[in-house]
Amino acid sequence: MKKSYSFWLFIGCLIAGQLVLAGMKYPAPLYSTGDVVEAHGKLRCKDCHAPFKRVASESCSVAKCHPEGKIGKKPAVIDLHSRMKGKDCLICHTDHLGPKGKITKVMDHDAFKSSKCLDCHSGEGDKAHKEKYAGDCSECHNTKKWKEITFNHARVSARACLDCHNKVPKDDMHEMGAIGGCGDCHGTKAWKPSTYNHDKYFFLDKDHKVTCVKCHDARSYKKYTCMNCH
Amino acid sequence: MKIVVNRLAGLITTVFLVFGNAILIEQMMDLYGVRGHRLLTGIIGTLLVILSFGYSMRKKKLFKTGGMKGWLRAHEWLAILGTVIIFVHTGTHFHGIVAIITLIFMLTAFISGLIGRYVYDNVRAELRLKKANLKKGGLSDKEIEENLTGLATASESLSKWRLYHMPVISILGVMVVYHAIAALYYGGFKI
Repeated sequence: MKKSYSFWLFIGCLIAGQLVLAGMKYPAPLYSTGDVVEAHGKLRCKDCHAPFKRVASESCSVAKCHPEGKIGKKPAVIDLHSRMKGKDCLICHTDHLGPKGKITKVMDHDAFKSSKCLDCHSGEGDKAHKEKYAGDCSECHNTKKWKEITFNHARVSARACLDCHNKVPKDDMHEMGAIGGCGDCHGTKAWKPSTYNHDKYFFLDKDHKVTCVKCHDARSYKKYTCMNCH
Repeated sequence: MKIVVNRLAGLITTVFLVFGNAILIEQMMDLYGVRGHRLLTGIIGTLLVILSFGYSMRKKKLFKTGGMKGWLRAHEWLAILGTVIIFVHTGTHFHGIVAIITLIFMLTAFISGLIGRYVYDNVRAELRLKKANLKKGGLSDKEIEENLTGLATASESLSKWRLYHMPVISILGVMVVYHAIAALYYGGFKI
């Protein structure tokens, strides 16, 4: 029997109507785009979602969930969030990626164009930065990865290496002092690997495979003697 | 028999190509960290499919711009492109009963559309025999082509096919509206 479009549209509305009714009782299975993270498992949809407004940050910061000033466990994280007051939580966070889902996204710096780097990146550990490099952060850092640093040593050529690289390994080589300075072994492109070339000063052939102190004074590599053997 | 096998193979290939391309595009977007494309692809895909219904409107003579053949081609390609984009919107994530039901109807409508295309081709092949007669009637090539397209769409086989295609399209229309309202209700308008 031939039915018109209106008939089938009516049938479609009947199906949709039944789903709407079911959705009023069980919204999550009907509309959820994925399971929420374990910690959010007991929440109802309307606890976070406001009609036609996605998730308002106010829903997150209610007293029983993530009250302002108490977000995070590590002091640096708590500090960071307290400085983010008033920002949209969804810039960095998401959900519905499964019970074990990673709900912190890669930071979208574009959302903070009006802010300065130091509005957020100004923890205790950055004091050293402030004192030595008060300039533009983007000279060394990018917004994709904080640890992907491209340090320009030309900016600090007048400084002694030890002003910054003050965590010198406690071994003979470093404690006694290098022959010509840090630059003998280290480059400015990468601190590791170091490339000290002993052959430049004395070729260590098979008869000279001995410990450092056999030839060098224990207090300085600049001093040496052959008399311990010859 | 050979024709049926060939056409079935064509149909399956098209479905796989559409699905494969959509999944590939979606994976590439994930790989390059493209975010917020779900709402946008959903809207664009749906608009393209809606636009493809210009053919139905032209067929019902709601307007007379352009030839039937051109509108039919536009209907096919806009629907295919829209479907690819909607599958990008869906990606490989199947959650939410409403979204899944809408997707099932979308897929059924797409396959039904492809079957319709093959039914149409068959009808046209039959009608080609009538072409000679029309030519004898003194019509120009363009007029004959339009005539054939008109006759083909009005054929009995296509009417039968429409009996199945129409319910799917109608219910799909309702489900798309419902899915969109539900998605905006919970997800908001922000892309």
